[in-house]
Amino acid sequence: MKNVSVVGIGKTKYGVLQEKTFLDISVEAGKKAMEDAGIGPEDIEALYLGNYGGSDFINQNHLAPYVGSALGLGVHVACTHIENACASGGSAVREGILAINSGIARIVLVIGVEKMNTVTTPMVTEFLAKAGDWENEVRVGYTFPCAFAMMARRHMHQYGTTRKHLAAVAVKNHKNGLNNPTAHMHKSITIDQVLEDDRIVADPLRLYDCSLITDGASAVVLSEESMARSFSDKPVDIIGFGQAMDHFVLYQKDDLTKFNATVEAAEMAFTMAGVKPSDIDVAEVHDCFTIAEILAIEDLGFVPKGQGGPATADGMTSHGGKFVVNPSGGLKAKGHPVGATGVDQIAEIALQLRGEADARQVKNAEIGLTHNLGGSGATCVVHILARN
Amino acid sequence: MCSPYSGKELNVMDVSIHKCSSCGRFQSPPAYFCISCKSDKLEWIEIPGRGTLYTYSTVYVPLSSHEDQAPYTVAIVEFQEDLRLTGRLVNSNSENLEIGAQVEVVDVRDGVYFFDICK
Repeated sequence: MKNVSVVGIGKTKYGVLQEKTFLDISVEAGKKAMEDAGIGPEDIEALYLGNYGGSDFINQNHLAPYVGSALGLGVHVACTHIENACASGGSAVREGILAINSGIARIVLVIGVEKMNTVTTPMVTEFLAKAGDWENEVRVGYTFPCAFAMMARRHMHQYGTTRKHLAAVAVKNHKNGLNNPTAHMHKSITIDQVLEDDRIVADPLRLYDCSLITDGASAVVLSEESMARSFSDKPVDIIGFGQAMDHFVLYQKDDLTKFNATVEAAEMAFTMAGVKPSDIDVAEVHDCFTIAEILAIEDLGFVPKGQGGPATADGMTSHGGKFVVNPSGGLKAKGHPVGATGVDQIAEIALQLRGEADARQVKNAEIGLTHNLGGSGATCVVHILARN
Repeated sequence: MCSPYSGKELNVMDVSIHKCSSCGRFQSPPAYFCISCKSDKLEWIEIPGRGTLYTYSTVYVPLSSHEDQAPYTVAIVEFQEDLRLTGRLVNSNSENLEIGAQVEVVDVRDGVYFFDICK
């Protein structure tokens, strides 16, 4: 099996990008990633495109060749769209890895992209809800904030987690976002601001517990590890990965305070990589809501179940802490262009391991992890990366 | 609307539940294969629509299709250890609810369960 390295990184600014089209941002991220690897469109042998809601947000399907064509890729290039809700990007990266593992391609471009600010917030909420079960959940009135709110309430009930613990996630990630030039939001907030904001989204989650409605694109060039140094002085290897599934319907899960898909995907990735949670220096995890980061660090094995809130409040996951979580600002401050998120996590960890993450750099980071969750946990993709 | 919880079942609405004919496991939502033993032999049975509140949330930012109903409260109700249903709570919001409260099914409309707290 061929090993895989990340040899190129490209990203657009994240935010409300009214003046740019879906193709503008897809091409910008893809072009930057190719330039970073010192290659051009003629060198790409496969394209995987992570996108969630193209048919809703921009009235466009058949997205991968739509982007591949705009990038000037050759006629021999297989262009494939991956949709796995909020884990579309992570799944697209995984498909890119598998293409290289199998020997079918040596140089692969993976782009994650979403253009969401084309419709009103209730319409965004409705489109995102399609990642849930329409017949059993959505028609009842479920929104994603509502699903994570119900998980938060169970976590509070079972483990004594408080709104203040949740707020600690938001405060940390907003602070980290200040160091990320491409983040959607550059705004420092306090625990009291999070607790006292009167904009309830789905009780107990309020505005600052939720990630952002963001436009943006991120891309990576992957290559066979054996040729990586011809593209990059500092290649980053993908040493483990896993993708897993859980019951599609939230209320069917045996325990609403745990994502079985995360536990399973993490175990696959750790086993493949031959490392353990305590070896991870830096992680980008799926904080679509504050509670989601708490669940993630527990399910990934960084802290025992129930301890995610206190660990965050104690600074264990902040810069200078035992393991740094979401130095990019996470989905909370960096923004969550749904299909782009999983790809951007890979790009961010690769920057960290290259030592090129500027003000958000985690000192001497050698091994990093990404965690990308889809829907209310029916999909989870975990990748583990290391310096070459 | 709730029946008095006196041991005698008064006006408790029955609900139809999918059940595995092989191992007896309840399936919610209805299944093609038993989520426990993977058998494809499943049957419908009726059970009394009474359970306990497992978790809940009052939604203030709704789906565009539910805008005229917000704020509304969504709940997951546990009927027994291996059976939960979801639906809407009537006459309640997060202010006056508690996990573990006794809940009854009071209506099923367009496939959506409506629950009320037993007072």
